[in-house]
Amino acid sequence: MVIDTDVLQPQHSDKTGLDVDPGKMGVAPSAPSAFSALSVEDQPARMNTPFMDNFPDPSQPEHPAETLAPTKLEVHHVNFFYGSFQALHDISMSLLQQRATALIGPSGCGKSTFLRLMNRMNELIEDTRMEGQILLDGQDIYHPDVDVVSLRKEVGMVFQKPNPFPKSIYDNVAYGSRIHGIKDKKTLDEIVESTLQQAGLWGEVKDSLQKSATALSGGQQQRLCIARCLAVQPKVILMDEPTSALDPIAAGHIEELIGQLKKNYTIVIVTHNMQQAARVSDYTGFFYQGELIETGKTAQIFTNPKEKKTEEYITGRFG
Amino acid sequence: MSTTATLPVQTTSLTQGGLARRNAKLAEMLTYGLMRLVTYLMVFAVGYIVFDIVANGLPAINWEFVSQFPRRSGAQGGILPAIVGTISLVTLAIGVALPLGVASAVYLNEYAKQGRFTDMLRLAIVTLAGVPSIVFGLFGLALFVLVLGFGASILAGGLTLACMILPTIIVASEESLKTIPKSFREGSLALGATRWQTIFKNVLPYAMPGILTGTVLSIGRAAGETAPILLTVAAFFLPVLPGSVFDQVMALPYHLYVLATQHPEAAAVRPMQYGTALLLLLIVLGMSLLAIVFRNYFRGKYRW
Repeated sequence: MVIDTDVLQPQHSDKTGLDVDPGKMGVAPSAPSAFSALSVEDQPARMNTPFMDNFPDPSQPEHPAETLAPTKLEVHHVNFFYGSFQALHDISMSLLQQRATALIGPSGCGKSTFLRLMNRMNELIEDTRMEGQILLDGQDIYHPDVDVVSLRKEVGMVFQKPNPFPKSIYDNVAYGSRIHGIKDKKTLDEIVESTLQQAGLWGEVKDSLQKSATALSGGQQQRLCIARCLAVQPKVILMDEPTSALDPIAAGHIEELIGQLKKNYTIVIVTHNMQQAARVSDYTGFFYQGELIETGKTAQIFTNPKEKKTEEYITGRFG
Repeated sequence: MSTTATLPVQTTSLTQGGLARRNAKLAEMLTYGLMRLVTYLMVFAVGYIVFDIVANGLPAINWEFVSQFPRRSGAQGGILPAIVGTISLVTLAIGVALPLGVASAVYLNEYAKQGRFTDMLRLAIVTLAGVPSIVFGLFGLALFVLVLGFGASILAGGLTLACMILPTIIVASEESLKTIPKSFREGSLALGATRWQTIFKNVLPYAMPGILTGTVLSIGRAAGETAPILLTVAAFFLPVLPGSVFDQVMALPYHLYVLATQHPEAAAVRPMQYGTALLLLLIVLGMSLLAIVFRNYFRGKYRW
């Protein structure tokens, strides 16, 4: 096959400076090109985009035990309305445990709306309506008997713009635990230390826990927000473009963190950055105009999308 | 090529102005000058009033003046009952209006479904803020003094003043709540906090500076208004301390009015008038300072 490597790999796309671990990405270390298994006929012009070289080979099983990962969240024929405007059309999707699922799509496609359905944050917006079912561990989270407070303990969220509370670092991390009735100082100390460690922030802030969280840098603030989210021991973490307000290096830290967190948590991440989706996620869902166009393994979505729209989007023809 | 050589500079377009530009500059200078003049005039007017009161009131103030009961209709002795009266009225008014006002603001901004109903409520509140104080006085007379049977009393007067300052506190509190970023609320709710926990722990503390600014304004108004207390509590001459909130009491603004216009020896009691005015100013200042200290505490504690 003829692939001009100068065109394919003019520069490595990981501008974040983050070293992408090929093993993590599922790329066979020996494969110089991820596309070597594909015939030229399968390679339309889209393959010339520079970031494609990072993408996994769909022929290589990413996780040998992939099919065994249990479903954490089951989304079943969901429609969502802002007033009379229908933002989501008949979305069905499974989100697997201990996997990171990326939601991509152009602005206004409904991916953030979809994300916020899973911890019922959309309910805070007046005049909205949801149809269908979302099951968390088989339980309908929109059932009238479900306590939204307990749901949000299970399903944490990290926002686009880091939103530390204007309190001390310690009080930020302890906020959720205190809300849920933990008063014991020693227990709180332990929670604060362990979650800050999980979020990779402990080393930087351990001597300034009483300092205001708003004095931290943007990337530190976002890791603090992740720590704050972890402190209430969620099972699912929703991330709404968690790095879009950060510089590339800080974003790289967050991506690394996501890679570690998905060992223990189910992660759903909305992102506009397709390299990021490719780097951090195992599965990807492509949204367009309120519809879930395609979903599948990240490797497959990025190298061999089934839908023309998906292909056009990931190759940058619109969006 | 020498690196220190300066570049050839063309001066015409940047440095030369036509007549139009000079006129624009002149107009700008005139406008600024006028604004500055007006500002200075205001400061001067306030400064002159304060100076006049301090200069004339200070000699009248001594220990006897603040600790004694008035004699001969206030021509001699002190004004202790009026001081006690004003402080208790303001304290009662703030004590009632602040929690109610903050609660209303929280309801309006955090809980109520925004729509025509809340718009009407807000319109009503803003209108109330503009109602003349004598109307509040009549309202207090009708409701608290007569219908509820409190009689002319600290309770009736304090509640009337509370009604009067309530709109100011609601508006200031709601404005302050509006400035708290939505992300603080979302962040808290996403951690599984209830709405009430979110408001109490993660919204109200940050809104306190703004709320207390409204309170400072209200203290001055509650302490200084004469019409509402005239109809509901203030005694013309009552040289005893109140025993309970159901007692009538003297108050500084009304006492000042009496000394200045109703006293048979108005000229002779002039120092008393100045002294009373100065004390009223000092009490307002003192109570406002207390609120400002609290405000600065909250400002320093929560920064974003």
